[in-house]
Amino acid sequence: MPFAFKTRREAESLGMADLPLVVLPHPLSSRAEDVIRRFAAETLDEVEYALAGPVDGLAARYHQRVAPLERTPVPGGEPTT
Amino acid sequence: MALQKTLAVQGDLADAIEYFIDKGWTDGLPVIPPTTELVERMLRHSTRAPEDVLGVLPPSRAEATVHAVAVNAVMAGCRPEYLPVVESAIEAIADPAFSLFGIQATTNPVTPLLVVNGPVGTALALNSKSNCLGNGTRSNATIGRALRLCMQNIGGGLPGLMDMATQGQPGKFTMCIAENEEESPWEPFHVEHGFDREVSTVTAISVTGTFQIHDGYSKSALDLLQTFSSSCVPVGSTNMHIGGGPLLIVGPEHAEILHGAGFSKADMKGYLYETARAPVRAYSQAMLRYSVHNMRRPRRFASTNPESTIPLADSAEDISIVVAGGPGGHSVFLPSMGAHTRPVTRVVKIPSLQ
Repeated sequence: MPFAFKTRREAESLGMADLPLVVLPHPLSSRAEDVIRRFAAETLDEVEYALAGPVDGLAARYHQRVAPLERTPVPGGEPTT
Repeated sequence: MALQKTLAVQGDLADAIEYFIDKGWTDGLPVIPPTTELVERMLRHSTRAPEDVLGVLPPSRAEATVHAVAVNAVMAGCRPEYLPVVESAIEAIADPAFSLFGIQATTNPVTPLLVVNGPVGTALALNSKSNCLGNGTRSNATIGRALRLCMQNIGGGLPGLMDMATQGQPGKFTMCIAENEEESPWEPFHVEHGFDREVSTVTAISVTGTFQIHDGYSKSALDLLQTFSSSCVPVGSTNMHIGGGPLLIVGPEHAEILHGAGFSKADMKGYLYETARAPVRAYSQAMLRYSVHNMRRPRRFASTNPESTIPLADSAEDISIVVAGGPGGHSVFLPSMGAHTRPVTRVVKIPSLQ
């Protein structure tokens, strides 16, 4: 999941730290078109679950899959100690 | 001035250097620990307040304050008088036209190249001549490095996490030159773009690499341009199959041959647009379908005729030309990352030069 952590951090910086992330296999673009279509079909159910399923516990369940990164203080930016 | 909390590191100078490396706050090379004294000395060369925001840097979307930029400039090894160039460079890359989010996050090997024009280049001893893209000059090396540290430490472009470059390129450590205005037969880049010659500017241009164009043998402009045309169409470069504005760094000897034959910069761009072209047959059907036909100004280059051609840029005006380098029959072709990123120029304000 090389891009999943990046997506998690991006969601955090947009103020959506609890956004459920549905992760597709990687690499994607170099695979055969029928394989990509199968991935899409297999993922649709999970997308529906993330969008319309029960809200309780949703964020926690998805955090287990793509954990938030530990924030690194920025030199000169955020206060450090 | 007590804008930020300070950081205490136990031990000596070497311990502090190791601390910064361990924290992931460097580019892999040791940095100068940004002590309060060094940061305050740096800030004295800014015309702005430390809390002023120069821009918001993605993907973290953190504000690049003058103070934060000064801290990273100290870490990069900048002399204090370099700070105004770094500040203006930050403003340039934060401009939406530069598309910093994509540049920070992409798998492409892209990095900002800074091109400095006007009196500040001489004032800061920026190298515009031999080995200007290489090692050996403090101002070139540390101004470019400061920009990269800001992109990483403020903007959050952490390699392998947010910066997903598949391989990257060595220019990501630092990439800053001045235009060789002294030996250029043409108007400087910033004058071409509407600034007075005596105004100092810095321009950020996204580049995915440096391709040598070596021709020390052609004596006529058309012969020389034949070499250029053949050299500027790397079919696998994102610039070719997605589009965008490539940069040519023309060596002074090449520029003199072209100027001597009556070629202006606009003439050279027009000539290259017409002649620097890759045939459609150079691309696989998949590349044509998903990239060339899909992303490069759809319809205009959508021919499936294998002998039809695709130019190095979508228009002659999209090609940038800068004169730099020393003696020798060499120029450099630097592809861009795509049509969504454009060169951005900002004025550099140094009170002593006003």
